[in-house]
Amino acid sequence: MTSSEVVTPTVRRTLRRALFWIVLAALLLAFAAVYGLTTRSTTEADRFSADEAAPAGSRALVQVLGDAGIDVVAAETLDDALAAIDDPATTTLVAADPRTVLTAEQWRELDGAAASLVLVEPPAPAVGSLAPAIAPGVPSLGGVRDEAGCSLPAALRAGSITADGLGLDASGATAADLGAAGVQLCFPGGEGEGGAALVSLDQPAGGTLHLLGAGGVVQNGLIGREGNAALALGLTGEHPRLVWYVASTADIAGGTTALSELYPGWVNPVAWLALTVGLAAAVWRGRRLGPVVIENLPVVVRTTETMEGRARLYAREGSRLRALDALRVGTLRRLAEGLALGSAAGLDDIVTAVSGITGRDRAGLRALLVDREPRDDGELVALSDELLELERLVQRRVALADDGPGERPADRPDPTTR
Amino acid sequence: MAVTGWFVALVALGVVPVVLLANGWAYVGWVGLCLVLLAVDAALAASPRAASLARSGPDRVRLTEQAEVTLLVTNGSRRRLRGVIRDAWEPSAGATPRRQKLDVPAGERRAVRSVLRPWRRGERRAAMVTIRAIGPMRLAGRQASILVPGGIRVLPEFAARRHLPSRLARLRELDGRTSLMVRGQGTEFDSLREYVRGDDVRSIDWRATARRAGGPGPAGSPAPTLMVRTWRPERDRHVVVIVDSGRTAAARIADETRIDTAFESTLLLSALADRAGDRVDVAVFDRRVRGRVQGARGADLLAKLVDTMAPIDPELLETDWTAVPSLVRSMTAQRSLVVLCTPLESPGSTRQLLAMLPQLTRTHLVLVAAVTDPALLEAAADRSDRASVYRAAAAERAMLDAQRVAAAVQRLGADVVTAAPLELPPAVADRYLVYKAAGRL
Repeated sequence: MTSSEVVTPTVRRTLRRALFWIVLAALLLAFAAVYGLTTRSTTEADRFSADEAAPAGSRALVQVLGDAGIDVVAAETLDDALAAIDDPATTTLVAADPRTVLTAEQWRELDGAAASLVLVEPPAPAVGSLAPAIAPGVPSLGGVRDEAGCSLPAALRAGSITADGLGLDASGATAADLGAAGVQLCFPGGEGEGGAALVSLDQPAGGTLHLLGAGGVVQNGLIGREGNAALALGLTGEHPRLVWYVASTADIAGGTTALSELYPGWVNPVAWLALTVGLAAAVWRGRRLGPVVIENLPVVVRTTETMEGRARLYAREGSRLRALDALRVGTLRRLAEGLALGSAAGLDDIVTAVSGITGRDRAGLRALLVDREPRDDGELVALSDELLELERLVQRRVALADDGPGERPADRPDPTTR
Repeated sequence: MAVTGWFVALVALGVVPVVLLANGWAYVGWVGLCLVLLAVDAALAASPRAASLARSGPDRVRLTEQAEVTLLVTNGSRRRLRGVIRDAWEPSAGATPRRQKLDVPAGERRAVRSVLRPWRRGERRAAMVTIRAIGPMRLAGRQASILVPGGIRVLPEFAARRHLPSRLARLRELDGRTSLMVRGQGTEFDSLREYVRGDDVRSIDWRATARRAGGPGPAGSPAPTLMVRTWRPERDRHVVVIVDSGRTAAARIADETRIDTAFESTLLLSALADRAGDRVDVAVFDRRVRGRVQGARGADLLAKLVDTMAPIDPELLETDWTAVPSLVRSMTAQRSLVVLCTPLESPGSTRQLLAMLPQLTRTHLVLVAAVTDPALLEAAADRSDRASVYRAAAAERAMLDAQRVAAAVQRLGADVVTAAPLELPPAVADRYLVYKAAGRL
């Protein structure tokens, strides 16, 4: 018995067999990488971002302006934006704060920074500090507005726009205040439509300030609708230099504190190490010492299955009489055996013999052994108990008679005389 | 390829440099170092494929006993083979220990012993041997499973053999060694011997006495030695045992399948009948002959019987009783005792048996040995609540069915022995002795 055959495949064979899947996984990984790089699909599009190609971004507008010869600079922090402005008189500054990170003080720094300041969807701090006469209206506008309602050339050229964004409301201010600030409400909309889409006024420190509530006008997704493009180009293309500033988390007051600076530097590597240890432990415990051995076991049947099934049938159908009859037949058989009556003994013989040895009357015995019908389960249990009682009684009497001192009880049935 | 717990500990140890350097590169470097060590250790381990294996050990073991099997491992590589070995047997072979340490220097041979304690009858085979060789740094292992054919035949337990001495004593009583036997049917002449006190005077052979004394002696001469004839039971009778291995034999009663009880009964009866000088032939049958022992005597008989019975398991088939008379005819020509080991349960399942029985009883003495279920008796006596009363009724009904079948079998001229699993073998043996004593064989 020395012939042997190795059943575990070699590493080379395993690799060759898994080659298809390895290649497939590599292809999938490569495809995913290429796809991710080309589409640069982030989880959430950066709104109004100058190089965001998603519908919420503003890349289209910025590129058109750049092609038209305007010097466009994108800035991500307030400091960068201010530093990018060389000559305020020839510069348009577009500022948006989609995450509402800038405080009122930071907005105030923009006052007078450029000849034309365009605030896209200005949040409450911006409006409060730069144009206190105006109040932000309904958060979302909608619908097409085809009446400029002001003398702004850009608005007049646009004719009609698709309003989508933040409405602006000037109903809370007095006419004198509005006049002092040179406020013009453009695309005001009707009653209950959420206020004006564009408000143009003077900056407190000089220059014009455009509050563009309808931010959709500069977004890739809506810029092609109605006169949106005309309005956007008119507002932003006024001066040869454009600074496109979208506020980011780096602008948060109190300096930039990344989460990674809150815990020691070894935490991340140790977490990776713990993961690796878990992986190694899984490989350690997961490798079996040879395959599981299987064995064919013979079929085994429980013998009492038929009996249990029949018992459940009796119980479900409530066949009390049938069940009781089965019990009675058993009792009669044992009584006949105990009294040595032989298997051919009839019912009457057994009743006579039992009444003889126990002294109970024959009618009662006959009723118990044959005639009575149980009306409910309680009666069935009672009758079954009576049958057992009778069997025990007969057993005791027979034993007593057998152990008796020599003489034969007169009432004991004698099988020989039968 | 396998890794050890030491490798996992080594990787975990990397927490020290990682914390000290507080740097992601420390992690990468440590894991890389671990992987290099792992590869080196695996490369330095001896190849388990180079090991050559050989088995030795008994090829038979009786159920409930144990056997030691040896596996010889020869290290064919030039490195020391150190690691773990697992000799994988089928679960019911009960091999212990399941895995053992292995350390074989290069070019040498070592024995790996394991003990089998089988808990099931039949053919148990060894599936394979798996060796995991661990490298010198104990970090990595190389593993291979190698098929080494081997097996052991687990024979029936024959627990009923403890009943054999008492039955043999009874047999000797019947035999001519005591002169209780008188002439009659079923006995044959054995020998002549001198009269001793207590012998039956009817057995005195006067002619032999006269021959011995050489004629009537004169008055006053010493009394002639009286000679008596002794008789012994007939010998060279034929016992045929048919064991039913069909569907109903698969039922388990009191932790033993019916076929196992039938085998126990057969073994006890065969051992007894063989000592009594009778011939025993056994066939295991459902729809075909699953096993057959014919013409064996003495120690050979029991050895052949257990060997034949060992691998037979019941099949889920209805036994074809119509083929049994021709099977018996093929095994014996003279009048024999035919023992049928089969359950007597319900009239429906025994119809074929009842239809066939007259063909056998016409020429043979037929005994049906059936196992009864003690659980039925228990269920019939339990009347504690409503559900158990219904169970008791069903049990009574089942017992009544069995009795009706037994009565039908008896009416057809066959005898019936029924007993619980442990009592059936001695009951069958006792019935055989009764036949022997009565000369009915």
